[in-house]
Amino acid sequence: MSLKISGISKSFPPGGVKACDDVSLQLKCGTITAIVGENGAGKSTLMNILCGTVTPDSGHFSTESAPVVPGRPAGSAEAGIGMVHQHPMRSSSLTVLENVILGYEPRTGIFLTDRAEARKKVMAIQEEYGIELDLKSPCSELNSLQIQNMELLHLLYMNRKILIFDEPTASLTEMGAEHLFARLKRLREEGKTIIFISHKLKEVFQICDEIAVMRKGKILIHKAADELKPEEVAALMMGRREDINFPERKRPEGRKHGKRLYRLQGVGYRKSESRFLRNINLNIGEGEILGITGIRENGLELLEDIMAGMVHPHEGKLHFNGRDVSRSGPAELRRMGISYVPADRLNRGISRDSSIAENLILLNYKRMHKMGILIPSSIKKWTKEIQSTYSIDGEPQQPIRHLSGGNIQKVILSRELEEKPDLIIISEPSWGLDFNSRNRLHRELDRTAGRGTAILLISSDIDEILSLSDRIAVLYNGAIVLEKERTDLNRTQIGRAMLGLETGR
Amino acid sequence: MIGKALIFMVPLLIAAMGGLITELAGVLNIALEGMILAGAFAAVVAVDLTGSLAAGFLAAMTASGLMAVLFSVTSLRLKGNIFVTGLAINLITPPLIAMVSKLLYGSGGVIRLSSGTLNLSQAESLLWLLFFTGAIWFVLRYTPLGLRIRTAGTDPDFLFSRGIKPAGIQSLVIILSGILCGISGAMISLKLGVFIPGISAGKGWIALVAVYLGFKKPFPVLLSCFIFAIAESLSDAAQGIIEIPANLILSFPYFMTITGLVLFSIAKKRKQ
Amino acid sequence: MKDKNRLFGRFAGTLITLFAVFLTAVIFLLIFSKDKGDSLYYFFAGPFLNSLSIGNMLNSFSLLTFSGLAITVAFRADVFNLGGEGQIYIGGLFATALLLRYPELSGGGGIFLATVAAATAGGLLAGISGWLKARWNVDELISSFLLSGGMIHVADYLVTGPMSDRSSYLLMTGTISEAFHLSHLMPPSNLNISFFGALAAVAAMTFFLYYTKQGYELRICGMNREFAHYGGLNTKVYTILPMFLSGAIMGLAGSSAVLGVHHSTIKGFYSGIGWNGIAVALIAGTNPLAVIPSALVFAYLNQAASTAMIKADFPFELGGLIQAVVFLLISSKILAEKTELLFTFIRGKRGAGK
Repeated sequence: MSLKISGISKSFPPGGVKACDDVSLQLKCGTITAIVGENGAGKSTLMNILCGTVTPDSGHFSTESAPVVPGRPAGSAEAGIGMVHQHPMRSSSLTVLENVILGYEPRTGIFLTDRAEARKKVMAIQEEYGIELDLKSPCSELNSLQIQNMELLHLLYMNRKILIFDEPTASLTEMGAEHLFARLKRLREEGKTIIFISHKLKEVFQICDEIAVMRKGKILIHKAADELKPEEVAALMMGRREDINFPERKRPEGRKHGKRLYRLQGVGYRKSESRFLRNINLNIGEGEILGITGIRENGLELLEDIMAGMVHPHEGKLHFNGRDVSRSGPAELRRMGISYVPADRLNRGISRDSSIAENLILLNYKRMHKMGILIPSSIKKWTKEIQSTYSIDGEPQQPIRHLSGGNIQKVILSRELEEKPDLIIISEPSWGLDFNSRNRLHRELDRTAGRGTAILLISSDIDEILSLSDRIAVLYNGAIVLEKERTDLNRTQIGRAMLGLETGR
Repeated sequence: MIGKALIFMVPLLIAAMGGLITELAGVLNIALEGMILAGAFAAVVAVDLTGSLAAGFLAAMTASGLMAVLFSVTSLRLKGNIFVTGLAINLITPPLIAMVSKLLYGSGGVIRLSSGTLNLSQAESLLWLLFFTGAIWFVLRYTPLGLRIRTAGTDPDFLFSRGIKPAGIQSLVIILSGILCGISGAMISLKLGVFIPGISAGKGWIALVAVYLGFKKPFPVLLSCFIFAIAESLSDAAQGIIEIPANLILSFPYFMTITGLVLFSIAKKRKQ
Repeated sequence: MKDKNRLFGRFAGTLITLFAVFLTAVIFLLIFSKDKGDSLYYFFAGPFLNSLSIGNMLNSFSLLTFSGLAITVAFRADVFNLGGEGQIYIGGLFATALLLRYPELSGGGGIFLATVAAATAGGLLAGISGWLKARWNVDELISSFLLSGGMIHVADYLVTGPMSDRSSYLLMTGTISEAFHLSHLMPPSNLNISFFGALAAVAAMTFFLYYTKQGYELRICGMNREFAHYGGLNTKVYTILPMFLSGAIMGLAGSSAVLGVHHSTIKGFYSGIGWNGIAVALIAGTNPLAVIPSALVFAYLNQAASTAMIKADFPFELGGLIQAVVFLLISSKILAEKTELLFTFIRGKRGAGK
């Protein structure tokens, strides 16, 4: 079944940024079409519109048999559209067969499941598409590939004809990806219409018949794959921006060669089949800004947790100032002079229902008491001082949740900086900040490094990494694929490394 | 002694099955205790008025079912804290019973049946045990409802994505657990032929812990109920020999339960 | 603005619950009492009729303040103490045992030691649950209930067995020497100087929570444990300590009842203090100062129910019913939301009118 998308637009919030801007696409039956683009290019919004979970502001889409009523999941389902999600949901308490049929069980009478019938039907589909899954095994034991297969099995059980695969390889091993590709080819032969969403250009060219590039909500190009080159597509995805030459900042002489402070040695961690780190070796010296980047899901958040002592590595060692801190928790790391600004600011970085003052004194209250008694007046005075130094809005006693994202970030940053740390781990510092707050934050970090503090900057924002870092490391699939001085790198190289196209140390 | 334990454990197991299905559906059901008590009372009253055991059970299921409706409305409809509302059910039952009792009998205390007590033999007890465990096992495994119950507890969002409202399943299961507690309560009071305030004596709590100790699976829950029952009849037997004061015996189920809970938690922590 | 409405919502949710409580009471009074006018009169005015009623109400207020405060402390740290009854009982029993064993102590010293013993006993009983939670992640809610439930029977055994007063027909221990009785404020009522103790406990707890280092740490742990861990606080300590404190304050309720009212440990004297403490704390939110008005409301309700029972021949225990209605409704999010919406709506209308 083919799918015709005409003039779809959607803004978030209404009247705001256009996530989809007059998107039109024609998808043929029996083809695999890739939709590629950077984070935030609008791919997910478009797919959610197709699945009926998001209502478009304008435009429509239709299969050859009938137009689809937009904004209704049931409508999209009836039209035969189904999505294999990047992180498919499942019921961890059911078996594979039960998961596939849940909600649509064949019955004997009104009360009993007709398991024989269900098994027969599902096994027929498995046979037809070569989907190997033990129907009896409990879902809690499946790996990501198997869970994806299970969702696919459900869609085929429901007889969906247009299948969307959202970053299907993001959580797969190479072997898993090969299996997936074979299956996609099989589905194509059966005449299904397939949409393949991906960051990874290599596999896009390996498997897809047609490629559409999305950027800033618009489809820039839609052509047969053999008429395009990877370089061309990569350039379109990232935009043809010139590599800006950032002015070299004035910093104390020799700061780049400052004393070695924090070292990761062969660090490995395994959270699940697809979420892991392997053999991470990094070190950072005084006054240095080490930028660690990558596309999310490639291990950035795991590295953040490990470096900050929130979880401990399964293998390898962490050294700070020559001491082994592989098993140290946040309390100990903080005592040794490490500060940490987490990416999850609202849940980890602040206590939402506490006041601004209570959030600000988290690290400092121990020095503000007289015989165990906290003096409200001195807390207030100190809070006001910090607020004026860092220009933070609000009254000290106000709940912090009233503050804007930028102000909350300033609260966290000022609290961490006031500890005069030797090292700051700071993750995704400009998420949710507007342009000005972001610039101010960058200046603050630059100044801090200038005073000799080492900064470990974790960010998936290439521009942020480029404008701040002295050295840059790129994480891809749980490992560091590129690590160089910033002066030896340009934007394109980093972008390619993030997509798994370039390596080098 | 095993025979005695079998007879003793029937009401415990039935309540535990009620606790099991609610627990699987993601509902912390601490209202078991109150619902058992309501059932025990209603059964005695109905048997006293009609002389029929069947009417006793029917009344017990209705009374406990109504308490379950109250529980489900306040916790799911009004979105109360399920723990606090469960506590409320346990707290509201005794005064309600006292009230009805006062109206019917002019006293809020003990109601004795002259006839119509329930006498289960060991064989019958075993049969009932297997029947209830088997039935719950079957429903959980072989019916669409079973799939929905299990998913409502672990992955409600997934259930919702398949077009089924988890809260609907949860209220249904709460009411089912109420009915089971009704049967359980009726068995307790009709066996003794008497209703005494507080006759449920912590059975609801023990049932809940039996669910945890049985890893939330029907037959292991049966086994953990059996262990509780054995321990109970052991202490009964010990009393005949070394004369342990009644009050101390009453404390055993609590300490046994907490010991079980701690062992379970240690095992769970080790596993991680 | 939005936040103000939310506050209104919470507050109004509480008001609706209290309204439902009074409504329930009135309905039951109207249905079941013989003389309806009398019973209504005694229910609403009864607690204020004479100094005996007022004094007993204030005494019940002191005890409820202790137990409400105990639960509030636990709430503040986001842990739950469900073993109040046992902790009160054991606390009272320890105080009694100490004073029976050492009758030669001086009055003040004996009272002090007995109070400390009660607090320690209650605190340890609850502290075990906190420790089990911190060490093996045993649900403190269930474990505190079970430990307390078991200990109640053990205490029953002691009170009716080895420690029982053979000369009395009541199930109680021997009576403590008069030197240890807390002085009464409004004889013949039960009101005694533990009233000031309760107020002092609220003040001390408020000071502890808001003005001390440990109080700050406890509150932060209660608000967001991940944040506390991230900031380097010892979150395990603040699972155990609040449970201990909660149990200790329950113990104080026990010793106040023993030293101030019963002068011995009577079987089941804790009833009506333990569970009601949770209701008091639920209405107070997590604010220790709010425990005072909340406990007052409950003391009034208890006294009203019991006056109506005695004077107007009301047929059964109304107190339990009232308490249960509070529990059924107080935590409802929908009630709070709906009233919040109502307030937003009214304010919007008024705004449009201007």
